[in-house]
Amino acid sequence: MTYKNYKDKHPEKVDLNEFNRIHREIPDKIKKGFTALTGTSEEYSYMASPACFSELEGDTRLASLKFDNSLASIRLWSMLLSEEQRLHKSRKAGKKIIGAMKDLGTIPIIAYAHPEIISFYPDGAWWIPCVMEMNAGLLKIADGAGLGEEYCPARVALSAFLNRAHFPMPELLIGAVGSCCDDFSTVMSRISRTDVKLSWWELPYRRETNSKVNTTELPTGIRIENHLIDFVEEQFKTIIQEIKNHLDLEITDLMLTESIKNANRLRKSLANIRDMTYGISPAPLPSLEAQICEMFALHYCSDLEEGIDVIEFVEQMVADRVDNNIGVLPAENAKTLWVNPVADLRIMNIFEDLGGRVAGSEYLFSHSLTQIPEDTRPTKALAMIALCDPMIGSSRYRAKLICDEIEKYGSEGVLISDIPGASHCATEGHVIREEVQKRFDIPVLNITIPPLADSSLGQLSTRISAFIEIIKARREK
Amino acid sequence: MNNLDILIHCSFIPIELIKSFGFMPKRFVSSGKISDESNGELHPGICSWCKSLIGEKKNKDVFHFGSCTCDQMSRTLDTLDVSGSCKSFVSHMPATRNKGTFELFKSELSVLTEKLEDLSGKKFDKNLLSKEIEKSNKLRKEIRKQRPSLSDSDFVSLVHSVFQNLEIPEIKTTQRKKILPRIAIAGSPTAKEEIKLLCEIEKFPAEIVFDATCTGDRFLEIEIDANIDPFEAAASAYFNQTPCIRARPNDDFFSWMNKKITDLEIDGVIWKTLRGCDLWNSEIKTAKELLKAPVLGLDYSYSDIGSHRIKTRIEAFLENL
Repeated sequence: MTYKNYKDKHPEKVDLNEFNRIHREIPDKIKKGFTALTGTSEEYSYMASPACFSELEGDTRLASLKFDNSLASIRLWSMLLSEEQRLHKSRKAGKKIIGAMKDLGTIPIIAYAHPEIISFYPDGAWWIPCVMEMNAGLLKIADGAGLGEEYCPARVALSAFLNRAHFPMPELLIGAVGSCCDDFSTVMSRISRTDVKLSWWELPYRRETNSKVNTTELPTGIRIENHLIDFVEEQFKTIIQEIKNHLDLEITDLMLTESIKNANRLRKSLANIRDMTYGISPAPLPSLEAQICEMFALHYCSDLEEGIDVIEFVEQMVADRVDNNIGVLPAENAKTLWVNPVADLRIMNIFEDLGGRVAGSEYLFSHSLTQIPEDTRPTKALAMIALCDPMIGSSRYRAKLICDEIEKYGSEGVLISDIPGASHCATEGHVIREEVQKRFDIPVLNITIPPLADSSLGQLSTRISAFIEIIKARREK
Repeated sequence: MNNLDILIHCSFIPIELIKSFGFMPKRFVSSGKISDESNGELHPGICSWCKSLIGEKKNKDVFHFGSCTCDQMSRTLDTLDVSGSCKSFVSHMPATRNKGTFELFKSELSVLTEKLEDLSGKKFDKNLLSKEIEKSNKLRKEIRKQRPSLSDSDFVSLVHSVFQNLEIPEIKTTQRKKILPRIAIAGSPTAKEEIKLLCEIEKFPAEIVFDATCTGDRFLEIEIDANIDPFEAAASAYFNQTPCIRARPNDDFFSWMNKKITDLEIDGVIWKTLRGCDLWNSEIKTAKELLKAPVLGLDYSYSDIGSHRIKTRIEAFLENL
């Protein structure tokens, strides 16, 4: 893709040195043109300096990763890696910060309805031990706080509240409980004992039904009882009131409607990226960058306007590659549906180096990629989308979403990457395997990936290689 | 009498409602015999209580009523359901307490009632529910009366027996020794084999005067108002019962414990958690900070109930008291 006379190099994955070299080559005028917190006193060219790619920031894991070499990718990574800094600048710019927890994708739509609010997920701290290769000591702090390795790596969210060395402390935390994994419910409970104000809301268990009496079909095609939707809608009204009481900022239905439109705009762009990346050969975008794009659906990487721009820019780049029939991976790579996000990002690189490519995903938050209804009350629309959360009902529903993806993208295998300590992983892998193999004759690999997988790379590589070999061997039959 | 075997898995599911349809539901109690009764079917990270559900209850004629109070338990039922080993129905039991979540709780009980109508082929009858409430109130009142004279091991055995039979058993009281220190037990529900551990504590000697587990005094505290609409009364009593540790916030649970510590002059708390039980295990630190008595955090699986490690730690704790 060519942007303001800068032409992308031939697509390939490059190491950090080359990535930095390309960054230096990009004209300053372009780099300075990408700004966050635009129009505020803290307007900031987050891509102008390559500091966020260096060890100065402590993100030593970057030296082990491979990156897509496009301008869009460098912009994407710059946005991601500058998030903490941007959050601190948001505070200086007078913005109010809301930390949303557990719901993954809905509360930020309410928060960003007001221009003075920034929202993010402290849950995302779970990547810090990997990116900083344990140098931040967050897992150690969690151990000391009584949340040892029997808990999911998301326990480091508590550590980040205890050491206060990462994101700024939000003015308000909004945590979803009820139908929530035990691990994160306990992490939130412990966070609630710090001095940050936390408001709870109840996210009910989603029980699917075939009945058409007093039920509604959700955007993902399943029916649930109306009382669950009514209840969640009331919960959101209460949250809006809490925001008013605590931050003195009023959010109207009209503002929410606009916010939903913004979310849908981003989701539409993400859907296009997914369709091209997962469905077309050769793959026009590496899986690591594709995963990062999906994560933008959660909270726009803490900047609504720029977050959407970054994703639309990636979309243009991917479309350009598709138009020119060029990609970053060999066309014969094994098309694999990936279940659960990995805490160690390097695994996504290794998987591709071994001959795989991601063709479909379910990273725990597929509901945040789904279009939100615009033909009903905004609070009701948000309730319906929150109830599509793949983690609040039966594992069968999650398996159904996975099967839908397999059908859509023609995945040749399913890789379930268990998160160590996460209680949902302890049971649902088996259910997903059963359900997938009832409908498709494809292999399913279930592996556990630690937050920093260096010591397990030997066995993980062997298992992934064997899995890819099986997929390729089946093509010849 | 309806012949379908029903097992329930949460203190928030009103037994009286299920019984009013002619069922004889039992509350699931783990045998506690070995750490992994699932024979490897469940991941090592899952608690022994859930694993024993897989091991013991592979009976297709059993219908399970669960809730999402414990995510591990509802997911274990999910596993059973998918494998075709049994059928289950999961209700939402709110973690937060307010007017809105009480209405949600009632709606969930209404859906549960419809499910019971389907299973039994009978219509919901308020009079039958009233009768069951009357019986339950009488049973709890009787046990409450006897409670001060029961040792904890006898009391928990009695609760297990009530959970299994749902009839008033003959209460054999033993004269509880008035000895020090006075101990409270909190944590994961007590399995049948764990009663041996309670006996060991009582032998040290120590007196367990209060049991804050789901298989202990929390069960006794439910009192259903027999003078109002029975459905409303059951909903109110179960919703407002002593909160579970998974309540958010769970300050009410700790306040309740502190009240008992003061009222019953408790010297120490043994906080026993099954390995893999996130909800109880994660709160040990909070318990140590908030409770007005010293807390011993014990984590184990069923295989080490009688181990020297556990005995030594209990002995050291009691000596310190």
